[in-house]
Amino acid sequence: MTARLQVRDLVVEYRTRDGVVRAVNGISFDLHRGEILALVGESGCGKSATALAMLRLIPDPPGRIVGGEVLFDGLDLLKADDAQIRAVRGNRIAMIFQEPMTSLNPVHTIGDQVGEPLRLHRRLTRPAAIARSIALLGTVNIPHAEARIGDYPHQFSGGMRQRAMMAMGMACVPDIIVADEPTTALDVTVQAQLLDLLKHQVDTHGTSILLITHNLGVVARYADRVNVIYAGRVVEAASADALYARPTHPYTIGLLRSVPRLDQPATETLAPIEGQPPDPLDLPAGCPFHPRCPLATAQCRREPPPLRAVGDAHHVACWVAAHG
Amino acid sequence: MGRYIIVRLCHAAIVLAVVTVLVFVIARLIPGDAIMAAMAGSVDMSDASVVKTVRATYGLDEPLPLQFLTWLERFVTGDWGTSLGTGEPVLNMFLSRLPVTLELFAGATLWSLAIGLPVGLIGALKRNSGTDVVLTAGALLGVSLPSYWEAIVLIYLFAVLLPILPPSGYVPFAEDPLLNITSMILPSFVLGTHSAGLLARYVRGSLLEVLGQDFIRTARAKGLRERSVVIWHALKPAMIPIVTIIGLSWGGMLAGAFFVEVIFALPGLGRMSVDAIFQKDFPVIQATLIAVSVNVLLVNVLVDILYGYLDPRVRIR
Repeated sequence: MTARLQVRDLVVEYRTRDGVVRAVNGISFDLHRGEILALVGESGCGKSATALAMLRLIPDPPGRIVGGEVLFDGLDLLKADDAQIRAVRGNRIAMIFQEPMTSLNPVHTIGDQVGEPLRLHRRLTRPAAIARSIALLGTVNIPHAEARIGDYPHQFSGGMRQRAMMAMGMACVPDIIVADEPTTALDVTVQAQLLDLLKHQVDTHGTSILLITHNLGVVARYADRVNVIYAGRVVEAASADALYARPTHPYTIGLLRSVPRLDQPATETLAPIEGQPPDPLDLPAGCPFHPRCPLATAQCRREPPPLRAVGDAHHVACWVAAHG
Repeated sequence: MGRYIIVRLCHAAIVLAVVTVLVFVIARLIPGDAIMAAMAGSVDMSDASVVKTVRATYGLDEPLPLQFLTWLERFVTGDWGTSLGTGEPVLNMFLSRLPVTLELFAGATLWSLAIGLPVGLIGALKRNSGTDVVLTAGALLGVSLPSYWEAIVLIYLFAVLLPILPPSGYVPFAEDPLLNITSMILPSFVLGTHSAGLLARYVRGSLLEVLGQDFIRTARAKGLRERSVVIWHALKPAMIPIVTIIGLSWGGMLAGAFFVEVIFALPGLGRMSVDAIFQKDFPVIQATLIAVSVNVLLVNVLVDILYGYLDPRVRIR
């Protein structure tokens, strides 16, 4: 089965006053029908830039997509013309952004904003779009949706705003939903409700979801496959089960050790990863993780490791782990 | 929204009350007694009893608060006093000059919108391009050019070298509509270019700020055309600071009218104020000050109402 979306060697750069930052440095992955793929990493590792670049939403300037391919439905989205990419955005591939406070327009009603993709891509009239929006808000569990449809975003709570964002993303029943930290600002119960809604979308419509997060708990519960990203590269790609059972890259192992677990004795201390994420303007030579890596060798300091198979659909970019 | 408007109007009324007190006090504090000066020619001011009579005639021997209330009562009932310069009732002078100035302001605002909005819009959409640099420089020039210099150059160009517009003067609209409008083109343009430059810079800045917001990215991610993103999602929130600038320019136009009405020989409020100030014509100065304040207050109420329309978050408070 060919993947629904193929990202190949994506490179994104930002021109800053101090020089050019390569935020995404050759990331590749496939996204299949009906699966949830998580991109995991620290802030600034390039996971959001990857998501934005797929739909060419990187603000230019300062950002620029330097290379790579994003193949979707026989089309390279990075080379598509304006009309082609607009027909994909919000229709076949929808995005759900973090920051529900600022990602909704403060001067338009929720109903108008949720219904906008329907008017645009499905050519619905305004009353029809509003009626459909009420139904959508109902499916994302906003109580009294008919009464709240004319509300402005500031009249909604944070959780309701994020639900409205989700309703907006689901409006056209897209093939792919890209959810960029969809639940970061919300409390845990609301997080779970919203992620269950996304999961429901996968089960009922075969939607594929690209879930961008730094929350390993969310990944463990919802993702089918995981790509761990460090300094703009995929350092480990595996099924969620394999990743938690046999984390292989030292960075992945470090990440998992720094998360508290209920099934561990409370006496065990958490082990943070020593050091800081690398300065994107001045990435270390060789493997970008080597200055923080307990296993680093001379080879790690010299040559960047390629992504190599260590098991069934389990790939790792590490000299040491791949040997072992 | 109705409640919101009433609250705004109440605020304006309070400010107006303070303004009337200030206007009255300032007039009494300015050195040089206008009554004495006016009477000096006709009566013997060295005679203390004559001075006393004169002061009593004008109510100047009453306590200040009482003088204020008397003055306020007359002012509200339409008795604005008589001009010391022309002997005409101030209200009549004011009403005959008001249409000229209002026409000038309206024309200037139209020019300012017609130039400022598109220039700012193009500057924001083509930011940092050659077009943007040229337009921004032009806007800066519009703000910096002294209006009297601009007026003289324009009169030379369009009334002398290329005589298509009258150089100065005023004809009421009812008398000759065409001449009325042609004679207003140059003065309103001169008055409008200053605020046009300011407006263009604010439109550009405000729009650029809004275009960098997260909700603009959301709008693009929905698949909207860039044109729809700007018109439907960016323009309305960007209009909030722009409306403020339009209001402020309107409020500040009287200062510009001082120059423009004198240079173009327009019988408006600016011209009347300049004459009154030179002649220490207090009743006229007082009336002008209050008219200016009312003008600024009304525009501010209008701006506040527009805020409420543009930004639903404002309506709640």
